[in-house]
Amino acid sequence: MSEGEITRTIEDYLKNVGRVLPSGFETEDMLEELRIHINEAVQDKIQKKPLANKIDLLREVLNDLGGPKEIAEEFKGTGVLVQEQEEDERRVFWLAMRFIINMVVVVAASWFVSNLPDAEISFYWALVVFLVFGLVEWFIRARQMREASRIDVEK
Amino acid sequence: MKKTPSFEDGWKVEIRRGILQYAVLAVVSRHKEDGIHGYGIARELKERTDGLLEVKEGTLYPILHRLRKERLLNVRTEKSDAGPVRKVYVLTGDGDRVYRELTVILDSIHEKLEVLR
Repeated sequence: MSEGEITRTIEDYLKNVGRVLPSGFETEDMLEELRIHINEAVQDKIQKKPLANKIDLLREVLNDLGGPKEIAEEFKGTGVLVQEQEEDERRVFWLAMRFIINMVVVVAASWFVSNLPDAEISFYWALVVFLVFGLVEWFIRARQMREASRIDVEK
Repeated sequence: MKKTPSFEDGWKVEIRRGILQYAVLAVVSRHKEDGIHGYGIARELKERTDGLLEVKEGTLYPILHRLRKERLLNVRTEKSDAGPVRKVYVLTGDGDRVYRELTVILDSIHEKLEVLR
């Protein structure tokens, strides 16, 4: 069996595990760890049994790892799955709240600015400017949060 | 027809899950200085317990994930023998405290069960 087929077998296994886990950064992270585990375990077995067929050794490694369902069961059993679903729901709720509050502030600020005495700014022009500011702030904050969670995971 | 697991099978699954989390902390605790990676933990668990815990190695990762979320383990990265960067687990201060507490509890449970036999 070629190296390409071995890689494909590993990728298929990881794809099947990925399918039964919730999608997200944490799952990607775990799949990467499983990939490293498989490669190290195969290398280890090759050193111990240099004459054995590589695909048989890979099968042994995948068997030792367990099936995708067993891994998903453990995820559920340790409560990680439930915890992450709750976190996702909370995240979506606060994202929606933030969006609504931002829109209210933008509309109120535009109305206020366009109604200032001697101000020659139209409501719609102010609305566009505030929306652009809001979008820029949103993207910067999202980037900062992604960076912070990446650093947190690496710690 | 789906076979219902026997009483002892269900009991084994429950007890294994709890013990496994403790066992992972115990293995990581043995590598306080340098830490240990996922495959190393799996190998050590298998060798040191003669496969008693019947661990499917893939199931260790959700446990490691949980222990990290509980801030009992920290992670740092290092280059693996197989090439890519891998995660190395070390106990946090809290992890060390929890491990010690669990050890005392387990010893006490063991002692009391001995009396019951």
